[in-house]
Amino acid sequence: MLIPCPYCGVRDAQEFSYRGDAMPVRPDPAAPDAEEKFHDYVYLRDNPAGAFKEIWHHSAGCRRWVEVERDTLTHEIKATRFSAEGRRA
Amino acid sequence: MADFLAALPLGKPLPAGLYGAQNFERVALCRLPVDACALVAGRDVAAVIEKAKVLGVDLCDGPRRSGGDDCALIGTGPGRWLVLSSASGLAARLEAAFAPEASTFEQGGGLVVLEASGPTLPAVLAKLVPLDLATFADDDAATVTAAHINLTLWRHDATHWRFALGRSYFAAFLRAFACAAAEYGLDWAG
Amino acid sequence: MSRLDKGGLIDRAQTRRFTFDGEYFEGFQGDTLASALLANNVKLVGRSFKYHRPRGIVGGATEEPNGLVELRSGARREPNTRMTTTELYDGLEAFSQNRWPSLDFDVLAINGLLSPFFGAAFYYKTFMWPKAAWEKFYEPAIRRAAGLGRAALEADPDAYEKSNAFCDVLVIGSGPAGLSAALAAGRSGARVILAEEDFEFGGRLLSERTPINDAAPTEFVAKTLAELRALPNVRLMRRTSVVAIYDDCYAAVERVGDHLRTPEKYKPRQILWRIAAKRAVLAAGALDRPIVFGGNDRPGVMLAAPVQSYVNRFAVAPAQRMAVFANNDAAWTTAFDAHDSGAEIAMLIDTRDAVAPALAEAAQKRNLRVILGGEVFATKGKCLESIEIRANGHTERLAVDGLAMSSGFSPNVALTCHHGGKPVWDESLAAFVPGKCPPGLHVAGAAAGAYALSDCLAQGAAKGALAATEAGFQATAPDTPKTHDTPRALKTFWHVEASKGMAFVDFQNDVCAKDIVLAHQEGFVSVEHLKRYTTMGMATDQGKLSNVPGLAIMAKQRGKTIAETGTTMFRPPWSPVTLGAFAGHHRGKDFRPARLTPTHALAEELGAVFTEAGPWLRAAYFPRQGETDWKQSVDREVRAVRENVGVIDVSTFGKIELQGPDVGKFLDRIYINTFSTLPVGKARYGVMLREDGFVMDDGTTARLSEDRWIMTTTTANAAKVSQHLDFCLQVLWPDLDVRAVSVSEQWGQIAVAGPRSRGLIAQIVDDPAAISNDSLPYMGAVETSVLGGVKARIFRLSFSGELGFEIAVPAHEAEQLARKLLETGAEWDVTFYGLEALAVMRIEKGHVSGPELNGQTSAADLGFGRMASTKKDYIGAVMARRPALTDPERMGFVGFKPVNPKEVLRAGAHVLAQGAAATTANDLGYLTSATVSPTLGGAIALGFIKGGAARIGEIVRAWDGVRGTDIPVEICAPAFYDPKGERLHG
Ligand SMILES: [Zn+2]
Repeated sequence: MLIPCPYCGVRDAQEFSYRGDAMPVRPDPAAPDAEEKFHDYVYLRDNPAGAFKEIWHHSAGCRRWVEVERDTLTHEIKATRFSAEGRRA
Repeated sequence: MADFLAALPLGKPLPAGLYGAQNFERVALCRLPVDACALVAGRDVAAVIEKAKVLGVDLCDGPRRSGGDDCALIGTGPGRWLVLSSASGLAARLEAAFAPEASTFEQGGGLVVLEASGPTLPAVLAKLVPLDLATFADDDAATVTAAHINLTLWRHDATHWRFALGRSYFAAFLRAFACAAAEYGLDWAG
Repeated sequence: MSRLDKGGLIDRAQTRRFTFDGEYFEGFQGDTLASALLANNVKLVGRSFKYHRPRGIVGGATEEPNGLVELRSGARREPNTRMTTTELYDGLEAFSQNRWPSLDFDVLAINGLLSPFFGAAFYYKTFMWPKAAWEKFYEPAIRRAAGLGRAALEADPDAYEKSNAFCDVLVIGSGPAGLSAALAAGRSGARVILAEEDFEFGGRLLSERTPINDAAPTEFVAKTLAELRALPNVRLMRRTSVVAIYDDCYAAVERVGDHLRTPEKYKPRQILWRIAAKRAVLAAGALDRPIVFGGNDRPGVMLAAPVQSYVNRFAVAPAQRMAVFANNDAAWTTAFDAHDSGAEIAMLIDTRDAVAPALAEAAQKRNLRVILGGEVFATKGKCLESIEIRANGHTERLAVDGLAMSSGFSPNVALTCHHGGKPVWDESLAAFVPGKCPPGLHVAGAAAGAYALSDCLAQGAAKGALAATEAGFQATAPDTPKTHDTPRALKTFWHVEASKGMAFVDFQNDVCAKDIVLAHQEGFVSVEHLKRYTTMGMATDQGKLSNVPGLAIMAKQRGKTIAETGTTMFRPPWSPVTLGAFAGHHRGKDFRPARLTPTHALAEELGAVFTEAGPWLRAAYFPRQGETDWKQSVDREVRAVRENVGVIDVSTFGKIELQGPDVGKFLDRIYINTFSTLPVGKARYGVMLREDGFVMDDGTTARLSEDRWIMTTTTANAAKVSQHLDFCLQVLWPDLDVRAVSVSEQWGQIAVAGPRSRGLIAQIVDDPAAISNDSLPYMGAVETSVLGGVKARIFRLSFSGELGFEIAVPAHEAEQLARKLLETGAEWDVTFYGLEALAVMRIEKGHVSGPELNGQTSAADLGFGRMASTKKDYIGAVMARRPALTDPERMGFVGFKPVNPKEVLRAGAHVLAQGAAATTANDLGYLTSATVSPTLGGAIALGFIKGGAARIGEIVRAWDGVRGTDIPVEICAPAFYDPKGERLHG
């Protein structure tokens, strides 16, 4: 599988390390229900068959965390962007 | 051929010499004496690019080499460059030019820079690097793994390619390179 | 000799000598082993897998199920090699397989007589009981009897490589469709790779006679190749099988040296290519199929299309007197070509009641005897001697030594299925044609079910142009050359049900029609179950011949159509791949690149014994003369550090330099303890957690100046921590201005430890005052210089528990530094020590390391509970507060020593209460690290126990079920040596 890295260009997926679901956001540790929120953040991951936003670390390249919009059924990649940007988009 | 690798030293870099086939199309490899630093921008990359102009460098924030042999900045990641210089005192120069917008990290003691050339080099590199190097223009660069070794490579000019890699991998890289080049022959200058 | 007097694409001027089962033969350049054996009248080439029936060559290429040999001898012996794809070379040695004592007389052929007992799933049913007998008796006996070839027993002496190729259009196959596709794409300027499995380009054009542009088809091949060769953007790769389509890449095996006795010097035997192609055209052709009838496996019974190849391409008549048995027109062309070449065609038997008049005329013109509506229902002879034919209520025996059979063609659709696409049944072709293809793949010619030559040429050109256009080039299909088409009509026919003798579906795995019927009776009706139950299609040929006839018989049993019952999945690889090709040069010591420390050469000079620590080669210990075992050396090294001074290279630690205004704030969020308050010139030990609250790594971080810090990580976790920091900085807190770079390669780090370490360092540091106790107290850090101007960072740290320093210099200076320490310290007998001594000393000191940072331990478990700040958030802080992680009954970090000081402890032992049974319920903890301490004179261990430090003083047992020991031990504090740390401050 090839992943278009926003910095390096199209690269083999072997150069990347997988983290998974890009959507969970680190909760506020001061919130009264922080423990429950962190539990969800750490352990609950979506794993859909189909369109998915996930993050990969380009560990053998530019070392950027990259957000990848991938169809998990076809491996078709719709878009990629630097991870922090995506989170704030 | 498997004997070829068995005959090479494992615990030290390959000594200079001719390896593999004795062939006019052989690949030449040599080590370049250079000082090296990593330059990393803070949050304002534009300011760093602006400051580079003072050095006369049109700095590119991408996988390209900017500048010349005196101070070559090779993009390794967004707002990150590997800086090489044939002159000494590189860290102090960069510090003076870029602080505080960018920070300088010395790398001259830990990096090995190699230069390869020869008519069969593309076939040798194809065995090592999973990139379409035929599409690289002069100064195009990539940070990638070759035979499981992380390195930054760039096309120096029409016939020369350069690689920067960690010192601890130097011996292993030479083994992999010599093995890939064996069928055409390798002239390793040391 | 069955070699025809003229014709063929062999080079009769170049004789190739070879042996088969030790007997000497000759063939020509351009032969395969199969064609050369047929030319020498060798028909019996192997014994079948289960029944040991005599077998001969059936096919002509990668589909061959019977003609498998051990090729070469000694270390290069390669089992199960298809003789149909083995290019003949001078000195070739081949040996038949699965026979004893000889191919001609095989003792186990008795299995054939017992065949009524050897039906489908025979193994599963028969060798069930008693269970213990399976490993001891049944399996070894079966393996001996039902083996294929033997692998070499020595290491493969040849080299394999991996390489990468990139193109716009990959064309798979070089028959009429492939050549036309390559030409259409190549003329547009697109980068084209044409991959051909055979050693000659041309595909079926090499085996057929239909003129193209009024010339022999081989002339069209030559002309097209000449044009392709002249195009710089076209790369021709023969002997190259495209074996798999993965996501965005094609895998191909190039057999660089398989056609040679040994590969050329410095050349690999094979190259595994990873081809990234924007588009591809699959022009892999089609394979002829067998008819299932009694005795259809007799040597001499072959597929019709390969017979045509042997006649036309190799100039071999595979038999003296042949018959043809088919349900289609194409087999008639084979009969005509063979007849026209001078081979005798005794009879043409077609299952159809009528054929096109032109076909009948062509046969009549040649005076061929034709039987319509006929079937062959039995054969005779060890090698074929006669066939029995039934037609119109009459039977007849015909003496022939060859029979060409065909039930029609199967397009080679395997590659189209590698992304999960299912082929589609086409009733008019009686074949599966490509269904949903992998993205970017087009199919042309016979592989798409378009068998007619004109269709192949036209489709190839059209698909080649389409592929190039899609890849961004302006391409037009070249004009299709003038040709005519041989007839291809067919009427579905699979199985002569009223047969005499065993009727084989899968030749290689000895699956008969009756096995499929049995599988159906026993309920294994789905095609996937059928495959596993009968083993149909599971051999090296992967059902290339058996799949469709087998499915047809099953469909009939179920009263359904093949379209309804479907087919099994085609998975990579299309043809077998040598394991060596997957490894490339990454074998033995090159399995992965070895990382060398800066002082590796010096350690070698000092006679170090090295050990692998992750990718690193590290000195384990430095034996001296007279020392007879490693522990003697290690004990001496430990004593030297404890009493005198020792030196070790610790460059393998991960080192990350951090700069920027927010580093302090960042480190506070990374570590459980506070760093923002750390003064310049000081180092602090830190523990970092994963977000789930468990410990990830530990190490010291020093503040070199106001906004410049250096973090160390453990050797093992260097990459993981670096990735973690990237995540935190890029994804969690991009607002922090922190610039982090790995400087692991930059700094060579040498630790000097022992009571005399300061004295030694004073000799090499340029300003000795810089390392005095006042200017560099314990946990101090200073930037200074050594060896007359070499930039150095000196840290007052100790892993061993003695007064210690770590000196970091640019890595290329580290060897010089180590040599200077060795030379300067000679008068004090300075000792280089290795990883083993370091491990002993850290256990003596009760320092945690890899075995304790095992991903299941919290900071509190490890005794760092009080280090954790409660005033700030940090990664893992919230989750570490979970009840289960703060339970006082959790296993806590302690030391253990045996009650009897002579006993030896080993890591991995479980801790049990005295008198408790060794059950999971009674498990109290485990030992993580153990050694025999030369300093304390006995065994000591570190580990975890429920309740932790509160149980110090209790006597428990270290129970080791693996090594069979059960040793009473006392729980003690983990710091066995100098618990107050007085020596550090010396
Ligand atoms: Zn990248």
